[in-house]
Amino acid sequence: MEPQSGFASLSKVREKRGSESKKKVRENQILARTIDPPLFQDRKKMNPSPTALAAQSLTRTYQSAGEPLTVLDRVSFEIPVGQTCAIVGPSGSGKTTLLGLCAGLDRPTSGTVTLNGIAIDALDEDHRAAVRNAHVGFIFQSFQLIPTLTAVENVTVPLELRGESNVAPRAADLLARVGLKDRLHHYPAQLSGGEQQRVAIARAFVNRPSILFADEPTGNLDSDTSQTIVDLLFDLNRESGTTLILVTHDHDLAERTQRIIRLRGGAVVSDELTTKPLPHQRGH
Amino acid sequence: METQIKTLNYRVALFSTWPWKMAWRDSRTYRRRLALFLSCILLGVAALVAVRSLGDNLTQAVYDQSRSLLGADLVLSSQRPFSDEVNTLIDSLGGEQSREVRFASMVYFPRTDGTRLVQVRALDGDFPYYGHFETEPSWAAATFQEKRTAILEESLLIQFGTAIGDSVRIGNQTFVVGGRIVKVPGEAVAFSTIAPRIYIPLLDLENTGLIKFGSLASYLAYFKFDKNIAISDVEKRLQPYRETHRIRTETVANRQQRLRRTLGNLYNFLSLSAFSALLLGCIGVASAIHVYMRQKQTTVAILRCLGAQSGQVLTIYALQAIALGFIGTALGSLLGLSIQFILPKVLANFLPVELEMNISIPAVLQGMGVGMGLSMLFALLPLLPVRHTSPLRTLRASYEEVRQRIDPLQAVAFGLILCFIAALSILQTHRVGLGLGITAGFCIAFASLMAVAKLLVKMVRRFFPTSWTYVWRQGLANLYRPNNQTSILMLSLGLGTFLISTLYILQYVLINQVSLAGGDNRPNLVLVDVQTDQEQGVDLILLAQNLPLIHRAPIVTMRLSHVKGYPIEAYREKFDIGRWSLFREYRSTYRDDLYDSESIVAGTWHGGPWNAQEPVPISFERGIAESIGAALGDTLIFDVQGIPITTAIQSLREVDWQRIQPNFFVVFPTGVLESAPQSQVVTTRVTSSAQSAQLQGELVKAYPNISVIDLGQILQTVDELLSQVSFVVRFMALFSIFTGLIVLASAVTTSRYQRIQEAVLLRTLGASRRQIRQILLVEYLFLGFLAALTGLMLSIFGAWALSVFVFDIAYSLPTTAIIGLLVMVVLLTMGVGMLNSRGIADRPPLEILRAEA
Repeated sequence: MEPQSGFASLSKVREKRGSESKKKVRENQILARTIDPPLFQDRKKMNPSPTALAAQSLTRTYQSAGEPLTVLDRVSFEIPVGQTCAIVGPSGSGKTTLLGLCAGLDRPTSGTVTLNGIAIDALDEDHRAAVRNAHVGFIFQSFQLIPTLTAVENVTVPLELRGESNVAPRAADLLARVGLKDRLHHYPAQLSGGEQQRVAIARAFVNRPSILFADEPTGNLDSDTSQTIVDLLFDLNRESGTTLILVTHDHDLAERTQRIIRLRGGAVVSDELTTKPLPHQRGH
Repeated sequence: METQIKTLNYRVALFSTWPWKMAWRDSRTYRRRLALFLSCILLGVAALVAVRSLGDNLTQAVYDQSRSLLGADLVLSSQRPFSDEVNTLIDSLGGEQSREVRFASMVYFPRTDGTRLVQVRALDGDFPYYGHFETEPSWAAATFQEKRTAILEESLLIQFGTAIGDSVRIGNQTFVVGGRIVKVPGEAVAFSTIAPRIYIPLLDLENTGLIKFGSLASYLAYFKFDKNIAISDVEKRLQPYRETHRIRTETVANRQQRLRRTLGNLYNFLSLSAFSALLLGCIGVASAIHVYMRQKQTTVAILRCLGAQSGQVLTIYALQAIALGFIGTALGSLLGLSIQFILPKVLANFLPVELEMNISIPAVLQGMGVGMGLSMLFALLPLLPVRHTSPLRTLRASYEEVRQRIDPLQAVAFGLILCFIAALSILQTHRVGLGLGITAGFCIAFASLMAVAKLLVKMVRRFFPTSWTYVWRQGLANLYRPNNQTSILMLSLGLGTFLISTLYILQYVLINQVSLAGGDNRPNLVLVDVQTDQEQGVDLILLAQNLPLIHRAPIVTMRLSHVKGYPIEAYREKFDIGRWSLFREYRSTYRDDLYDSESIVAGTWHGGPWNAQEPVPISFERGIAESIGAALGDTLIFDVQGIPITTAIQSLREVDWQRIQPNFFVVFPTGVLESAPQSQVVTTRVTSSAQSAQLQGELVKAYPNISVIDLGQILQTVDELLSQVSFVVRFMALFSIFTGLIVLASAVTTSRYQRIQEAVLLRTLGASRRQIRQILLVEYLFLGFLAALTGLMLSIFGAWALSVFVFDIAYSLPTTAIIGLLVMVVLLTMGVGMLNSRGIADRPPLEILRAEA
């Protein structure tokens, strides 16, 4: 998808948000779905729009020593369902801030984020948490496993949060898939960095998210381990057809995605498709 | 819709199994650390349970032993001999009866040539009818009346090197010492310090020659009635005699009530001490959880990121806190049940009843309930902010939430804590004002301790000695490490120090005051009950020993009969004036001049003899005039041993009661009371205890009725009594100190990982283990020092304020004791700190590189 095509769907977004009451009704419908597992499981039906993520004029300013500091300045883009996309840029360019906003970890100062058709910028933290649990998977640079839980327990957390039961076998299957069959009951401190990131990948996929955010997934790993992790990430992604948003410094890693958005000084400087086949081209 | 979703979320949080599962899993690697948090409230709950249990047992004991507390069914007493009419009445009451005359007198021990002021009890009859008059040998109580022997307080026998079988002289009569007192029913040992007791047969009272008309003595009659006689009927028969013949009655119910009040005060004090230990523990819990939650921030952020609701996350940690609180309070009650068996020993001297300690279930439940409720409310303070932890922390480790100024829920929790404390204090004291006062007192004490602690920490930081060696600077700097618990440690250790030191200082100041009162050329020996015909003889004895006669004041006993034209009964009812000041026996004097301890504050002093008609111009002490509601110019009629004398208040005086000299409420002019029955008070000054002993010896031989009050002896008595009191207070203050030490241990454990990291870093940079240990030692040294200083500073100020504004006495400091206390607290802090820091200095660096302990 060309960046310009994003503007076409912008009018749709505007339409959606046109009247306050309409927006409310829509939001409520979505929330009802996020709480109700059977409905959202069939997410293709629920979300007829091919857009997985839409950022519209996203701006984030922080107060730094009393001065407003604009970290992100009117960033807009749309990611269609199933696309893999890398956000790259030098340190301080606003990559991580953008990721935080898109994943609903933070709220923009102005602008909107629509994730799977849900305007998450309008939601409070607890509702965003519900949306994250239903639709989003995360992979972090520093793994972010819960140190007091074993590998398998770490993986089951997103499912248990949904209130699902008998989740351990599914987590064990996924851990076996990432090659940690013999490490199920180890604590994070007993695992190597690569193993920890594999547990994190299993955790990210366990709730079958529609969109996966990865923040420098190989930043803390050596190059050999990185290769394994990246292969695993892309394999699983392909298998589940998840939309993947990747923040990275690593050019080789970025090149493996279908689209690269470059940031500098908090603004998008380029937004290009790579040579990788797009999701709608795949399988047709 | 939105609210519906919210409630759904909270319902999920509370009733789904996940937070419970998560709370359990999450606690696994932290249990040792968590165990220390819970021990913060251990001692507070233990103290509370022990004290409540003691209270229940005391109530039970007072109830069970109510009869033996009085020793009889009814006691009749009067400050003057029973009139014939009353004696007839007493005879008509029937039942078994005993008589006693009780008075203060000097006794003389020929064996060691010693004398002392004691309380003589001349007894006739089989009193006590209930309970046991315990003596050594045991038969002495039953036989002393028949054998005409005396039974003495043990302390007297020890003090004067006298054994059973030796003799003791009381007045003109010499008795063989037949035994020593072990226990008199209904009387606490502590009070015998003030006036040691001696029992003699009533038959021998006359031979002593001590009781004459107008002598100060109490006359008692004890009764034991048949079971079918109602005490209330007997009381009704006595009622008409109460005012007219000035007799008082006391029944088992009265005594029980009085005892409950006295014991209630003791119990309230103990409860408050226990309560303050618990409060300290709760603050320790809050502080420990605060640090714990900071360490858990990343975990919380991850959970939030994965979609956990704020309610769910709060539930996880609240469940952990509740579980810990429950274990802590349960263990605390177990400990309390063991401590309760020690308490009666600590309080032995203050308890007039035999205590049989039983496990009191209500006490355990109350202690646990209070401990649980209070600690959980305190735990909420650091738990509530978890709701605002941002999932952004997963992306940026250094992310700081933009915190709301005041979290409304935190404010509610804080308000609940205050209400809880106030409610408990009110329930404890049964008085709203007092309860609120105590709550305010707690707040002020904690706030001032906190303020002083903060100020000290700030000052040290400000005036940081940069020239010190590295070890010292690093040790001091450790107090300011992130997540430090310096203030809370200073608070808990400081409070204990404060309690102990305030007590020390006050005791010192009081003792000092009593000795000062006899300083310079002031009198330090008072001769009481000198009869008019003994005046010259006493003068001669003083002259022979070259002792000065400083004051000589006649004393005439009298009672008020009319005030401002009303009979006092009517007056009291009309104006609702307290009984004590209206019905008391006034011991008035007469003279022409003012003492230097007195000053006229209203009206004019009548100097010189009064020869005119009544009303006689008299001078009243200001305070007592206020309490009977009389002002300048009012007329009062005094009944001077049967003769009414009309007087008018011509002046009001301010009296310095601190002086060791005869001070009076009412002073008459000369020329009025000279012929009334009277005795004299004489003061003199001795310069050594040998001189005092010699004078007392001479006096007791020549005039056994004269009592000598020796300032030296008073000092000793005050000291003994205060020591007993302070022993109890110190025992309770130890709970605070130990709680402080436990909080310290938990703080060290909490920061253990951080400390290991620091140590490894320092070792990587080339520090030796020795240096690391030294740094830790310096840290604890400063901590202990600053904590002790916090408590000491406040106690020095508090004791000063108490001395100057409440006791109105000169202030001075027991420097040695204070320095001793300081050293003790510092050493304890260093000891506990180092004990919990074992192994920090020699952990392998690899462990750190592997992250999370």
